[in-house]
Amino acid sequence: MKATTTTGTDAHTPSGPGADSGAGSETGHGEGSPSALRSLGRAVAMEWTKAASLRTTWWCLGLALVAMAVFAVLMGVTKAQEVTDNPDAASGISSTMLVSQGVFYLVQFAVVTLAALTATGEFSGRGASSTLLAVPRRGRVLAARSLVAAGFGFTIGAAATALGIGILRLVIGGLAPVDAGGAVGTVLASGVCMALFAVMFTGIGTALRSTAGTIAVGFLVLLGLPMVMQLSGLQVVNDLSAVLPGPAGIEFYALGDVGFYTAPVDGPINLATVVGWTAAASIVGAAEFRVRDA
Amino acid sequence: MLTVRELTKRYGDTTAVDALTFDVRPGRVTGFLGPNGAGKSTAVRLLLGLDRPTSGSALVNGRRYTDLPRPEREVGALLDGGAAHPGRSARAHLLALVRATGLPRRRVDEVLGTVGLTDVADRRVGGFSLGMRQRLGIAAALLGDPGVLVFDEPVNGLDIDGVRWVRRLMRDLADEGRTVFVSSHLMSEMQQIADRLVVVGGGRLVADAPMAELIDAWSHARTVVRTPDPGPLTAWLRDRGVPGRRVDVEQGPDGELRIQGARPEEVGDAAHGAGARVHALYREEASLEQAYLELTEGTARHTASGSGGTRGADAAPGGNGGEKTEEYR
Repeated sequence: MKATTTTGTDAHTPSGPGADSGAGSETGHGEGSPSALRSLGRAVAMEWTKAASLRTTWWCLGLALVAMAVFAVLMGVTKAQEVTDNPDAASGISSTMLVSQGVFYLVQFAVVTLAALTATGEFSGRGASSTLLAVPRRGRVLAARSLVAAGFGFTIGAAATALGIGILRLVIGGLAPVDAGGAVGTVLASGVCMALFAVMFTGIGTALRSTAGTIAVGFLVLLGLPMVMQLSGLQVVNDLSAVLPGPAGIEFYALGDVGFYTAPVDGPINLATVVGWTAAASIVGAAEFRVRDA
Repeated sequence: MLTVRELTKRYGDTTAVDALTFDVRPGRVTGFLGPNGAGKSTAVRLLLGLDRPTSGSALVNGRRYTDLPRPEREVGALLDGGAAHPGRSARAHLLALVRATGLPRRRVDEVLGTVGLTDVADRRVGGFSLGMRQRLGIAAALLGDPGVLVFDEPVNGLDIDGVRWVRRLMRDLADEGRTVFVSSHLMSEMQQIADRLVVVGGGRLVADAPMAELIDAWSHARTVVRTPDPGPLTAWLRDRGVPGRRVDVEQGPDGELRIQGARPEEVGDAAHGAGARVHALYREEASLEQAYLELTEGTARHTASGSGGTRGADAAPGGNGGEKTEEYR
């Protein structure tokens, strides 16, 4: 049934004759279907190409770095001033704590925005159909998209944290010395956490199919809701906020040195909490994507 | 080869596609004709696995699209304007598709050349005209050199040169033995392109036949006569008519009679015989466009109204009613 000839549209192409001769037959009609891993690799390559070819992707990355730089300079100068006013304050200064707050208040929202755009961008402009024609397995599309988002998330988290630590060292290096191990730990931890958040909001965005909605959920879940819960006088509600991904995340990447109250839990349990949220969001996103018309 | 069987898609109470059954065979251009909202795009999306059918099936080369191991090498599709992100360049859009499918990278430049977008390949799609976007969509459809091509309203937004180019392209693709399935809401466009027509109205199949057969069936000519004595003429035509043929007389406004089954000279002779005065007498051809619109939009109206009365609209502009049908190809 299949045509074995070439696309052969040369006689009438605006670009002149012979533009397309002989192409099709060499493109491997005889090949069987590629392995699942290979197909996933190809889908990742597609998602990477799409993300990398949009300016907004790089804007998000740049914005995260600029935000962290401004935050670090501001905090550094503030702390230096505090120490000038009251030399005793010097003992409480921690670069890890300051930088992790920069991630919590600013950087993670660049990650949320980027994930929201990757996940929802195609649903507004019908672009989803061209993607799904190329990769009809929706689980594969979401997996590839999540992996690419995770890569960007890790890069943004780790790079912004490293930048913040570097700037603080320049500004108040004498007051808050950073040990190399701790610095590397927090850089990696915030990279991992931002990668997980990127996957989480790729899942949420896929379920919601709305960029604005996804970003709104991001602000609510990562910042708004935990803050309101901590405002409440009830200790139970206050402690419960620790199971939300925002507070659990900062507890993880600040290596316990958060600087504000999160919860009475420390250590790997916080990473597990973030992983749990991420898994839940991915499952909901995948289920919604599979069932709903594109 | 496309195989559609009892394909149905419901959204709540609305049935967008209603038990469609038809085949699209290779080696010819099959038109998919229907007014806007007739369910064409929905049917195409069901065929390509983008939407799920409520019931029935739509198969490409005997399999569901989502089950094809290498869909890009079997089917290429152009859907609403190509659907490329406005912030991405044409080249990046195609490159992403090539990477997803494992096709060789040179295919990007090849199809860009085929559709004539080489010079603007690195410009962002947001700045493209509708016609350029259509070309990009066609380029994407051709990437895998597929044996089946599905084009949803491919000439939308194209200028005359673009339209001619698309017609040639589809003709060549079909002549190479490929299956070409093209949707449109314009009968005039279909007349230029299609060998066979699948016609839908209100989600249902209205016709599935070779183009020539539909043209024969649809381009009914009739004779219109204006007379102050409609009574005697009608009686004469009913009683004696034309030997060997059935003559239908329909009463129009202002003493107009619309006669099917009798040529103007025969009606003139009848008027002479009946002693009816004739103020005007001419032959009127209903255009294919009209015939098709009546068939697709008026499925309900047709069966309800029966004879006479409400059909006056199609001859509205006085004696000019009914354009001359264009010649086929």
